[in-house]
Amino acid sequence: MTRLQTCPLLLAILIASLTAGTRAEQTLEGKVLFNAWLTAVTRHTPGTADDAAATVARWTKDQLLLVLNHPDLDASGVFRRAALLHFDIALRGDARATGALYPSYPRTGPGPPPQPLMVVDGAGLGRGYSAAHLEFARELIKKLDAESKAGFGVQWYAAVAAQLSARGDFADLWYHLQHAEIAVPESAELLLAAGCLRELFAGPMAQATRRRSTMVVVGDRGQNLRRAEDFFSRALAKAPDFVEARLRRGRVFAEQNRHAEAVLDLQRARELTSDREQSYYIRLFLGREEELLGRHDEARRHYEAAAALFPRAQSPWLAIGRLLAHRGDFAGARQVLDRGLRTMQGEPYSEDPWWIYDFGPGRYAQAMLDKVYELARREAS
Amino acid sequence: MRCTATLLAIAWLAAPLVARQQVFTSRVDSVRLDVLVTNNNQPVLGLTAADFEIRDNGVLQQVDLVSFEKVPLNVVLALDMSGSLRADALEHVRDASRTLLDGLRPGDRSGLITFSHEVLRRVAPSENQHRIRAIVDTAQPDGQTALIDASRAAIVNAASTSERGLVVIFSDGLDTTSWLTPEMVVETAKRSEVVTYAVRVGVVDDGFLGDLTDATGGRLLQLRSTEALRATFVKILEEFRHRYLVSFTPRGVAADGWHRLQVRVKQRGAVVRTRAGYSRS
Repeated sequence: MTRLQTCPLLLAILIASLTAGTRAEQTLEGKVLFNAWLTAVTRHTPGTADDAAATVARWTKDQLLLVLNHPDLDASGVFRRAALLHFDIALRGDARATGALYPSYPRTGPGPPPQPLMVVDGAGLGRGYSAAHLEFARELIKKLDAESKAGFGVQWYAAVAAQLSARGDFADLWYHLQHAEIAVPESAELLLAAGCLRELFAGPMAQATRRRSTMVVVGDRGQNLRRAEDFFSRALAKAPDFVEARLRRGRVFAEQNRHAEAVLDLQRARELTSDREQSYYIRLFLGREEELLGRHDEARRHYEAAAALFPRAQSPWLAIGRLLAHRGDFAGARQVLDRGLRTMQGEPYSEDPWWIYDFGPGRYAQAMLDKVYELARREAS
Repeated sequence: MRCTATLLAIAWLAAPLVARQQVFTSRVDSVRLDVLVTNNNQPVLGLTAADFEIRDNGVLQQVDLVSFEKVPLNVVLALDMSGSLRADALEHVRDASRTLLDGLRPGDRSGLITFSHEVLRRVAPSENQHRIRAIVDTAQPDGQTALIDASRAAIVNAASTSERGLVVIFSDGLDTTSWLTPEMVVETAKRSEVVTYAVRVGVVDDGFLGDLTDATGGRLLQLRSTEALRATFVKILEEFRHRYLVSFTPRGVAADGWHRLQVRVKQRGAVVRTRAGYSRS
């Protein structure tokens, strides 16, 4: 072998020996991290911001990827508990690893994923700050067997969707629901969450932002209403007595001027529920339908029923006042406003569920999450 | 038999009177209009009843009265206090509001509504400005924007049978959370005598404030920043004081329903701004 031939060989041996050392270090670091992660998963109490969560919350994206790619992960079998750990970390909002774990995640189609980012009244809604840990959790759910995916997996996705809705984290919710479509079987709860997001996108908050921002991929009002209707209809096909899906589909029909269908859905929803908030929405929406039909006395009865359910809510009083003003009774309208509107901040917070309608299943977020925690605890014991 | 025939005859004679559509006959039914007349963007002063021509659903009307600057004002400020309002803009809003209040005269009343996602009925119209000033100086922005709901609340508060109602709306955003629809509020505005001016900053109107102000004979002023807000509020008040209060008693038109109004003055080149019509039922 000539000197010319041995030089590259020596160089290769030198490089291999150097990188072998580095790989060994990496393997060691990975092992240490993985064991630390397993300990955190085992020690973490789901639903709490404990020390175990705080420890993993301090890790970088690279450290998370080392764990995710560790050869011992698949055999660990701790996917449920770990998914809950990482979701609890995402909820903390102070994780060191922010943004996506993978640059082009999730790949649900060609090209980079759209980034719905809404800035409403100066506040960013959904910047994906919790994405890294949610992604991690979703990767773990992928490792469940088919039966577990259909059970725990679906419940986890739906509960997380509800939490993201409650926080107004619509960018992460968008990704989360897109991933749910490919990761777990379809469920009525997930279809509701998807429909609610489309209903939000059709509404003034998102459409107003669409006019102001070039960073938003939201679509126009009509497109979103049709998609919302489709999601709610599919949810009702799986669960015909699903009140939330039915009252929302009723409203979506109304927004598309399909009033006969709207009234049918709303009346059916009214028969099925005794939930105070749902009844409030149904009364408001039925009042609006009667008002549009010119049946103002009937409309007023519905609005008054809504006001009786939430006496400090202002929307029913605004609606009743408008009925009075419509017939020229401004004095009466003023009296109604005096009754329905507060005069100052600092009084007990006035509850108007209309203000949180756009947050969809977020209203039930805690109950859904508690159900998932309970499921995880039962399966662990 | 004779009695029955008499009764039948009376009923037969009365039937056309009942069947004929009811028309205005009383002074109580007079219509009051706030009218701005400009020429080359300058207010035209010194006009009298003889200078005005009013058509109600196309029918020429007799102008009963024209007055100028004699009737006190009922001014309601509706201020956007949503989360997008920055600190410097908030100071401009406060300064502009104080300046507008300084421009009111004895006998004028003022009221205040502020809105985020919640509409707050801060101060009912009165001659005492202390409370409005205190709230303007301390209110803090937070939350979303119920511009449509707030606009209606302001109009209802400003509607008065004696004073001239003026609503001044300030907003830096688009509505995100109202229960009422834009069409409902414009409809309410058409049924009142209140004139609505609106000042929008930083975002192009989505049509609501333009439609609302047009329906009432007011104006929408679009600003790039709140730095010019004080001067704009002053301009609104001055312009409103230069409006004529014109009244007429409708004759020859059906009493009920929507009445489209056409108001012009005989001076060449004059531009007239007033509400589009009125409604009676």
